[in-house]
Amino acid sequence: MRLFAKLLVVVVALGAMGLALLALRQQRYEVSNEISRTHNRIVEQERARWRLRAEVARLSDPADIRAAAERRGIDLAPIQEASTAPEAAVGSKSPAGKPAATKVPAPAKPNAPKPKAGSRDRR
Amino acid sequence: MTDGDPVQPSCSPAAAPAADGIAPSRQAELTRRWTRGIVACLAVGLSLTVLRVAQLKVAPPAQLDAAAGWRTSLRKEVARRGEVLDARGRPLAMSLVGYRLFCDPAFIYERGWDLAKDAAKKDPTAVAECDPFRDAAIELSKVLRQPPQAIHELLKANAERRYVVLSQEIDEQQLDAIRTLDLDGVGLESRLVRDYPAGGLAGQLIGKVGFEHAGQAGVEFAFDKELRPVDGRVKALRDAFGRTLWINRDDYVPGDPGQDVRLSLDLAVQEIAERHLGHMVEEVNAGGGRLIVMDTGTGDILAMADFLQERPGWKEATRDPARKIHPSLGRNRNVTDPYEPGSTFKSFVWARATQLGAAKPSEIIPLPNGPFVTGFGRTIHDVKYPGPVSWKTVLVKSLNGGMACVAMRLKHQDLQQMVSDFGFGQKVGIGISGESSGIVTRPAKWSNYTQTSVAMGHEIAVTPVQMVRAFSAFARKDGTMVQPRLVLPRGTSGSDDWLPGSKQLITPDVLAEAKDAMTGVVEEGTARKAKSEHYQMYGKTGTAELAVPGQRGYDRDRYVASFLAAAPLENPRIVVLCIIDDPDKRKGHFGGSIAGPVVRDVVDETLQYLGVPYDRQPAKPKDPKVASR
Repeated sequence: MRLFAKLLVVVVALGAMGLALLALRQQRYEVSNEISRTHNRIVEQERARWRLRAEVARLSDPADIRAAAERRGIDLAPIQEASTAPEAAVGSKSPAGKPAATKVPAPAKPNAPKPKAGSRDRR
Repeated sequence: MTDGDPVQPSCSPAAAPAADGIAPSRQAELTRRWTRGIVACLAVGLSLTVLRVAQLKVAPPAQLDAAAGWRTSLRKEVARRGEVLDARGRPLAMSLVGYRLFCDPAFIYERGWDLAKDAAKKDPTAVAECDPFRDAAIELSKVLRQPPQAIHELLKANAERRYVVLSQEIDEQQLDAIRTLDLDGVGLESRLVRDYPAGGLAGQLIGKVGFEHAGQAGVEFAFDKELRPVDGRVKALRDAFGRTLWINRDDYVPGDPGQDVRLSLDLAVQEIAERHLGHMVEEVNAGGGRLIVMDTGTGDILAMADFLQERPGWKEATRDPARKIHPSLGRNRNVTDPYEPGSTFKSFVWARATQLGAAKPSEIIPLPNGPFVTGFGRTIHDVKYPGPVSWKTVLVKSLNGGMACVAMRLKHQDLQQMVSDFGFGQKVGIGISGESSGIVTRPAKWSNYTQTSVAMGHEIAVTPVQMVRAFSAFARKDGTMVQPRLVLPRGTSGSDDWLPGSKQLITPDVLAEAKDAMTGVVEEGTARKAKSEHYQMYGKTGTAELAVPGQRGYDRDRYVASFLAAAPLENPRIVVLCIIDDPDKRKGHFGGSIAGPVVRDVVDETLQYLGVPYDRQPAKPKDPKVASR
């Protein structure tokens, strides 16, 4: 009877160990699965970021900005006030040594054609 | 216990006689045996289980291995190709992940029939009406927005195949729809797609990639090695539904994205250049047009435009078959196609002749009131014959006779040296493939005829990029020539103000005289139409006749009109060259009248964009039309 009890203890202990191992294994799989799902999400987010970047670039196309400004009657001008006096700092760069950030509208030419090299596209 | 011992009554069950007649000792023995047997069986069972687990792990049966192997997938981890950026970091070319839709017709067919056979148990007509391709085509047509008949035909024609592409690229909506439908035998394959957010702007310069995402033309081709990525790989274990379960650390090799290439180009300046050039090419019905804007301090190419136009009924002088396939596959003629510069070349000859003392700006050149005849008998024609004029006026009025007269005072070697010093006949080396070094007559073949021709910009062919490089010597205070730069070095901000140039080509006093003479060209000479209301500029016009292809001589009705200028006058920031190829003579053909206004508008807008203050008081408009310009 004692032997049977010992056997039962051993079997129960082995079973418990097995269950614990299985639980750990399952946890490991779940963590691995979560990691792989996170990896996939990162990849998806990265790709979405590329798409957004392309969209931003497309929407900030200089021609589109100019057209939008013209549509709304906005008179864009350089950040640095353009002096009309010939003795003003001729040819100097903007204070930062870099070009101004905005541009002046085109001398409005009616029916000016779009660039011919092709339209916006994916090549 | 010994025999002599008195028998003690025992309380143990073994000692007591069993009710079923089995002696207690015998029962205990049986229990022990059973226990041992069970323990032995459990031990053997556990051992066998362990062994089986070990066997399955170490050397599983082939069938099981195949089934398990199906659950792992090895796929490519797509790495991004480097971006092509403009000087301010705006993307000109970038890669996105697109999806290709494919199907497995053989699987669709088998799966369809299996389902039909199952359905036949309830409805016997199901098999007779079964057409797996028809059902798939109807579903796919909703997504692909194509007639189901076309898809049905495609599937039927490829019924035996395991891979058929249904669409090379599907959009976001289609992607969602396909994922929702979850059709058997239909799959998505991710692939890189090259996107050009600026559309066709600078198309010939940026170039194009092919199907394998490899550069085919332009910067995409020239810098393919830098831009090209190295794909990674990932091996994932998937569940029965194909979903990723997990990825082992050792099974993931990340991709290595390509390097970005940052151009000196400014997208806004490029747009300005292409807009004005395109307008003029259309207005004068020209065969094409080229335009370059270069920063005089750094040599940065801010814009490089190139148009070709096919005109019905014209035998075009310039052809580019690749451009018909795709505009971006065309060659960049600013770099590849030399042209005869005509009178724009006189500025270099004038400066060198003045520097060598062959003539002074105020010296009167004895020109007749008709065609000038050289000492060796060549007759030089001009548009007008003003008679004796100053050497400065020769340049202002672009008189061929005056140039030929003074050129004959120079030695052949002097002119050859000038051509060499200004870099003609030598590649500029801006990194674009197919660059031409131009055409320069060899010294051995250099005759008096060549001497007078070169003085007028004939018998020499140069590329537009060579011209702007050479003209930068007139735009830099030290008279040096700057090396044009199309690609900014890695790690630099691209905000340099000034970079050293070549050796000094023009002395300061001659530079001042040349600038004065070329200001006269704009103010009172051949480029009066290029006069800006906001900025003073100086430059030289050119109107060269086109050579007749395959024959000697020139076509008297076809021209290359150009204008080469720098602005503002005192401290030039940009050099601009505009070439109008083969304009319709009836609509204008002189460099000053058709290329000049383009340069004026480009200079005005570019300098304003760059924040350069005006150096001229705008004239009060007399005419509302002028005011609205």
